[in-house]
Amino acid sequence: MLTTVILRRLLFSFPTILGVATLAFLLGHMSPGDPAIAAMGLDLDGESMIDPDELARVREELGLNKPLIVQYLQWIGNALQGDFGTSYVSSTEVSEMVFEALPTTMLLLVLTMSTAIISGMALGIVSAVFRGRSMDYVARMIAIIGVSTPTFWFALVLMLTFAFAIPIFPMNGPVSEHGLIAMALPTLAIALHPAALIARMTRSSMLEVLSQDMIRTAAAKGLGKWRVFMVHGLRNAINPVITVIGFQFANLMGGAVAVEFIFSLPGLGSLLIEGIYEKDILLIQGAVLVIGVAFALSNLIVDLLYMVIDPRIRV
Amino acid sequence: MKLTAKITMVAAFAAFLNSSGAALADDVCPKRGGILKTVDMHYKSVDPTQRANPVYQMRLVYDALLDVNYDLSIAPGLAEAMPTQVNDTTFVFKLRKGVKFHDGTDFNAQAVKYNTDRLIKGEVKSPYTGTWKRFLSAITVVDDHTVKFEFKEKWPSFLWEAATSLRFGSPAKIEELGKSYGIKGAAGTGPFMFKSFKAKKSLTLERNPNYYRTGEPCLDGYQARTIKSGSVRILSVKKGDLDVINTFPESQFPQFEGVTNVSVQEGKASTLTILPLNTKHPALADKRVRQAIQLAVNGRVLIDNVYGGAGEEIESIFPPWHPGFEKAEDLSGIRQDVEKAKKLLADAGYGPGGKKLTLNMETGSGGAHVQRGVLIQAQMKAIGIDLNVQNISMGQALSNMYSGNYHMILWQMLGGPNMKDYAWNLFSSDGTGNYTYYNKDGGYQNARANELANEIVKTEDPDAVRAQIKELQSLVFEDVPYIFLNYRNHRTARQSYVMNFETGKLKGREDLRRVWLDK
Repeated sequence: MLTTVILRRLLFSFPTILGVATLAFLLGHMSPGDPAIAAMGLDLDGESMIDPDELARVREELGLNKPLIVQYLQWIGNALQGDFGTSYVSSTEVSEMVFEALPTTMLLLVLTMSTAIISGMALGIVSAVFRGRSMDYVARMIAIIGVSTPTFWFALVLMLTFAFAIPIFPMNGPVSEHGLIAMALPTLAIALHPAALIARMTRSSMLEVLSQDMIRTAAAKGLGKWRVFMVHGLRNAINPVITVIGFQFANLMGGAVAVEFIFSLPGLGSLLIEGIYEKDILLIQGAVLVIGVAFALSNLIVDLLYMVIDPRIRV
Repeated sequence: MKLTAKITMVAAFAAFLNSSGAALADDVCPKRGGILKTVDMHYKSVDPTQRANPVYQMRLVYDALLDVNYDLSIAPGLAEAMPTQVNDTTFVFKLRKGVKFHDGTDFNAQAVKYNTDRLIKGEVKSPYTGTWKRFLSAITVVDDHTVKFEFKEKWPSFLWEAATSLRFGSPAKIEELGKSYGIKGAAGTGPFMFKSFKAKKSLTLERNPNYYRTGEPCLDGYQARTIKSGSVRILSVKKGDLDVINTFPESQFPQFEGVTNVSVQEGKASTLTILPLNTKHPALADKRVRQAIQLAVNGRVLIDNVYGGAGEEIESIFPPWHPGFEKAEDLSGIRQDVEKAKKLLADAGYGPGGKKLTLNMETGSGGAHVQRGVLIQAQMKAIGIDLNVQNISMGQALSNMYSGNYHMILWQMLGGPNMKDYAWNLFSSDGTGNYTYYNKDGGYQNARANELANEIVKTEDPDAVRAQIKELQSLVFEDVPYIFLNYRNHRTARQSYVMNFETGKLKGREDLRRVWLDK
């Protein structure tokens, strides 16, 4: 039964991914600028000038003179076989660039989500359990600050404090250079916002469940306070929290782009921005496609989690 | 003194230095070793046909036939002496003997021809192909150490091009790596050898122990990586993670005040900031509108507010360091005069009582670009022009200029000490950097200015064309196909222990061969 649902959902994901790919292709080609100029490696300081014959030759070599539909079909056909083409600007296989950047971003997102889920839910539970008391106020204050703080600003503050003034963490650079500690500040920078949202949702959902009769019954049966909260309360309050977590994955990519930029992490966000800036269409398309697939898969995982937690949804 | 005479003197001095390289070594490198760590590497591969940014990074791996000194004079490099000029269109180079590529193969005339052919035959996508294809008609191997260049027509800036845009990789290595050359590996003759490269991420080089200039380089290696945020670069150099940074936001320059371990150096007026105007645009085709825009802007305000004072106002079509610099007698046409600007605009039928004029200005998206854009927008508003500022990538800007799909673009240009870049390129009907359509089909025409630009480019001796330079700049300061904003200085921040790291007249042309670390 569950296998059928998974297969059906996977099948439904294909049109979404194809739509994302098509949109990425069209947006890439519609944006102003000539990729052939970027491919020629022209400097922007006025020392090298565009030679019309050479530009025409490069456009021909890159296949940019072909009709758009032909370019699209060629690209989508190759992409289905895992070949995203060669970057116009870097002369490197796009698949190589994307899959080289993917682990950094995935690691960042996994660490961020783990941190956000653990800290956010802990904060939310404490806030709900100690409702109206000082711990509740402190937890709510932290959540409000977290929701209101821009990620890029928080990233710079963390860097200034813990990498410059008190040099505990590296200022920037990849995991390959510094080890996992390179992810500490970027993770904290991105995790603040989703943690705050998760905390707020956990609190309100817990408060709703804790006011129900079943909780009073459980307590009346003599179950321990924390067993009532964590088993009976949290289990029933978790679904809306999972929904928020699922949505956060998509939002995190935005934060990841800014944080990868600030901490010089060679992830997908940096790669995508670079591609857009350089008008490297194949790179943009490849990166967007991979990000699209990642989103589709994350949504699928969230849906599956619903089913595991609440079997009624399988019906 | 004529330029050729100066070149000969410098060449003789350089030849002396080279011949006594071993003796100089200890003086040149009081300390050896260490790795210089820096940032920036905006280019796709360590291929000699690519233009690195910063420019000097390609000089670390590759040499050219000629060298450019800090004062922009030209000296022999891989050529044992300056070339013999047979006639207007033929130059013969004698090559230095015993020079080896990093892979152990010989540098010789065949290697020069191989690399030149590779550049002009479209085997690579290079920004230099157009220029070399335009002029070069033949390259001939006379013997193993003699090579002859023949041109289709007189090529006055050839020596500069030979020093800056033609470098040599090992033919054997290029053949071995094919399209991966420059990414997976590379072999030049330069002071440093390729170790690893990730496009726009990192570059690692190590010392070439067999460099032809005995004793150089002083450093054991070189590392560059990308830090995109200007603020983070500054923090990194202040913290000591980096030894040198070449690019950082001028607005954050005060952050270096009181920082004793970091020295900031400045190269004067290296970058020309202009606004090319599309003279095909109905409003911009009218000289009065262009003049009004020029009179509305104040280049000094931009220098003071955006560059932290690090710049100079324009006084000639050539920058102050250029041998062609000739201060214009009348600068009133390019200095701010808001009332006159309003009148010119009214005469052209725009402003109060006339048509409303709205223009688009494209600019880059970095901090300085945005600040300049906002200030220019305010200066235009003062004379009644609504300016939409659009932040785009500079690659897109170049593309838009090339296709003529723009009104005005905030542009900056680094030219060489030749007569081509600042005169012919910008104002001639044939100028490949003339995107204003000034003197081109459909654009604003001034036959005399076109004639002068084409005449000036025929020589590299500015003294021979002083009168023409004066006349040309007088005409273009009146026609204003470009809005002349200012010259911008470039700054380099380095740790105080980085010795012999000079800031040249042109941005990014540092020579690291004699840089050493006093730590």
